[in-house]
Amino acid sequence: MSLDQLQRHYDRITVDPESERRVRDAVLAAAPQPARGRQLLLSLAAAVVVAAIAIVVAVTRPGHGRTEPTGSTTPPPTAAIPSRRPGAVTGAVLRSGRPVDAQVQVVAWPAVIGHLKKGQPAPTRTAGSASTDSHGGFVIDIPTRVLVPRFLSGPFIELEVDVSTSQNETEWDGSLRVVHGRTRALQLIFDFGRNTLTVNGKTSPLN
Amino acid sequence: MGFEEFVAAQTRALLGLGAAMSGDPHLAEDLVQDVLIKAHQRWDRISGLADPPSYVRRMLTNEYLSWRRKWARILPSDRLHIFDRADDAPDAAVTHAERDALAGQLRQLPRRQRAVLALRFYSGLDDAEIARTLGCGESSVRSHASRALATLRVQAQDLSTTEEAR
Repeated sequence: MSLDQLQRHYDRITVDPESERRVRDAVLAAAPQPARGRQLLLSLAAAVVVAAIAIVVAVTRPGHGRTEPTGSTTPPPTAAIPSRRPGAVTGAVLRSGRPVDAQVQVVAWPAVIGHLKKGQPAPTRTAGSASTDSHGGFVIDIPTRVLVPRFLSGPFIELEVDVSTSQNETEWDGSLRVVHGRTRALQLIFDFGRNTLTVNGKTSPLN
Repeated sequence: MGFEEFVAAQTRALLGLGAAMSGDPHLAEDLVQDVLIKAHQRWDRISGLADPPSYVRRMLTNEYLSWRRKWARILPSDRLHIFDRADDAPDAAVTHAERDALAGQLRQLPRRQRAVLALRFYSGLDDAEIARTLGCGESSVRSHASRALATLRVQAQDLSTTEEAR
């Protein structure tokens, strides 16, 4: 097979105008645009409410007017994030930097699903699960020995990490290289307040 | 740009990319619909970005890559015949056969590799743009692409060998 053949394959893709119309109609019906005037009014009202709350809090909080900390207030809990290590998925679930109670599950996906019959569910396997600790952290060991070879695609294993809290649900998925029978270290930090996901130190928006 | 204007201008391109990645126009419809509704919820922020179409394309790619749970219920699909433009070719039967074979081979690839191929060959993005879309490094993009191409070549050879043996 040549690259030209592959390019032709993609060049042949056309979009049915009916399909386009269906999507446009469904989206605009489900997501109506508020009128500009109303939007502006809502923004102004929200700004006034926020400013009023800020003033009330500033005036009524203990220690108002002092510049030195009193030492009597309890500091907010901070997250302690388990460090990366091979053979495990580690990380934390946070809301604006603060720990959140969450369930974390790691699911392994078979390397190839094209051979399945129509309607047959993909034979996934739960590799491990954990609840976050008081600091929002979690550590889940990946039992590579029992997962290979059906779940290996070359040196890679396909994993999905599902996170659910009382208010949010999200997931990360991707391929992890397996070296000497252990997955490469993976650290995931989900922050639902900042809407970010940090994967091995690299932060991007959380969809 | 208002959200309605954005939807009018970008739905076609997003549907094409969705079909290129998933190989199924019906799934592409669902994907694009989900993503555009999410985009509407944060349109105030997205519309202020330098390149809203790129951002929504990234949302679409992430949505496709995270659709495994839904796919587990509906895969595999037999709806491979999604491309129409080549029907006027003189050897349409051969083209159909080649198309089906290639669509089948693409379906065997890991999803991230399929996303890389669709972004490169359908959307015409370069490595840097694909890396930004997928949230990974350019070397990772090249690695996915080369693994995908290597797999397709191997499978094409396997098919030829099978045909010769008959």
